[in-house]
Amino acid sequence: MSQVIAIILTIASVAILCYMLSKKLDIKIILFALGLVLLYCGVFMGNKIKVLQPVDALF
Amino acid sequence: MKPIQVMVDQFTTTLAGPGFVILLLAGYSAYMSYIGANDVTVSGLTSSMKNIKSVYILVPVVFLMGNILSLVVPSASNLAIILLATLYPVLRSTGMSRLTSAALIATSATIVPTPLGSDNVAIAAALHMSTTEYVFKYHAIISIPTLLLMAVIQYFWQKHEDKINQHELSYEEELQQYGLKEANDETNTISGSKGLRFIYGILPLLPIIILIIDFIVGISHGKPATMSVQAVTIISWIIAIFVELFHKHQAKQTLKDTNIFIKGMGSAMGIVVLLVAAQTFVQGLNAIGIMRMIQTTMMHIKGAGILLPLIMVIFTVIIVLLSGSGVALTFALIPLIVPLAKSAGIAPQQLSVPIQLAGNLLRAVSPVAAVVLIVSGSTHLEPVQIIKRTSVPMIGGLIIMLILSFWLL
Repeated sequence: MSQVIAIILTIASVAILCYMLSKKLDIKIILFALGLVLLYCGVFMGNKIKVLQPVDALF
Repeated sequence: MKPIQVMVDQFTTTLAGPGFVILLLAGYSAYMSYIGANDVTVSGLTSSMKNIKSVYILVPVVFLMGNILSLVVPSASNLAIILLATLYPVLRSTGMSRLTSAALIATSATIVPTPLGSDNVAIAAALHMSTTEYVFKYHAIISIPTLLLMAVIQYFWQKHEDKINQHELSYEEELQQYGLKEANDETNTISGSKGLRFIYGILPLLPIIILIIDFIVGISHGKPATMSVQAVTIISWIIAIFVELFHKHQAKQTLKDTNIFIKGMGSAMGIVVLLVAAQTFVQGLNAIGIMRMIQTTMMHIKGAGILLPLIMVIFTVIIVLLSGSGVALTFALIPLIVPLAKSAGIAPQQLSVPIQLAGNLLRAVSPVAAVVLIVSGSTHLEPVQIIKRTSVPMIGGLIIMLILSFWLL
């Protein structure tokens, strides 16, 4: 069940991100907002929240 | 409160790590503009390019040059920051469009074969062969032809897109529109002997020159390069201050001018916040468990036969597009390469090379990749516009890489 929720949340958040990007809105606040919503969803799903990836992983 | 703490953690780690590199290089670039060194470099380099009939000839050259430079500066985002500060004004002054210049810088670090790459070292160890053997026998025979063909695709794609978007800002208009011209108006002009202009012309390129020297010295002594981009930038700044002191003989004014460096650092804060925002989004995806889920699925794919590399590349693409990086995934999969390849009845390198190269290629197509966000923030372009320019060469490269892997490995 949690896997289905994770897939739905991912698709929804990526869709929102793409829509906002197409509207040329400020991407910073969108990324922060989506990130926080997903983090809270993770908490409600009972997942352990920690800084999983080192920041270098983005590079 | 934990999600908020994750955000705070992201701010502190980014500011202390990659954010600091961005701030330092932005400060150095602002100082170089102020003392007039950038103008000397740009006019020197563009005058030597005057004989080039079409600016598009530079597209494959710059793309390949950027990739060679990634041997010296392996981090895609660090290299992009350096190139934005040094190469971008030159490319724009030669008449190259903003989007083409941005796309070339965003794709500067891709798949250059190097035995110094940490991923190559780890994969070679897992495959029980020397790093040199892995890189030159398997990695290079795929990556070098792919890079060359990607350079050709870059040429045609950027030319085609520029033809469609003909209402492009000139460099002069770009500087005026984004408030850079006002800042430049306050700058000094270097007039004097050829020697003095040469010294000032070298200053903006000094960080990259020091890094190349450090790299060559390291190679000749059989040791890895020891200097960080941060250290090199600070050394270059100190040298620049001394040059100013000796040139102007006005200690008070020269020391006052050093504040431009700090102001320049402040102006790049928006790019750092963009990186923190992207990292918070990626942490959110991690928190709901999607990354772990994809990774677990990849680890349990068995019996796919020769289709296994293709399936693994598709999953790698999904992770890279979502997270902006394939590094963590590559390292997580290294211990599984040999058993997975064995179960599929293929050679381990047939699996390792496509996964590794796909991760590095598709980074420039992810809207949350640091390199895309940095280039977008610095050039005042939307990430989507940059991705449109990088997508065709990178996806083309991915397809070429897959075909070559099936054919040659």
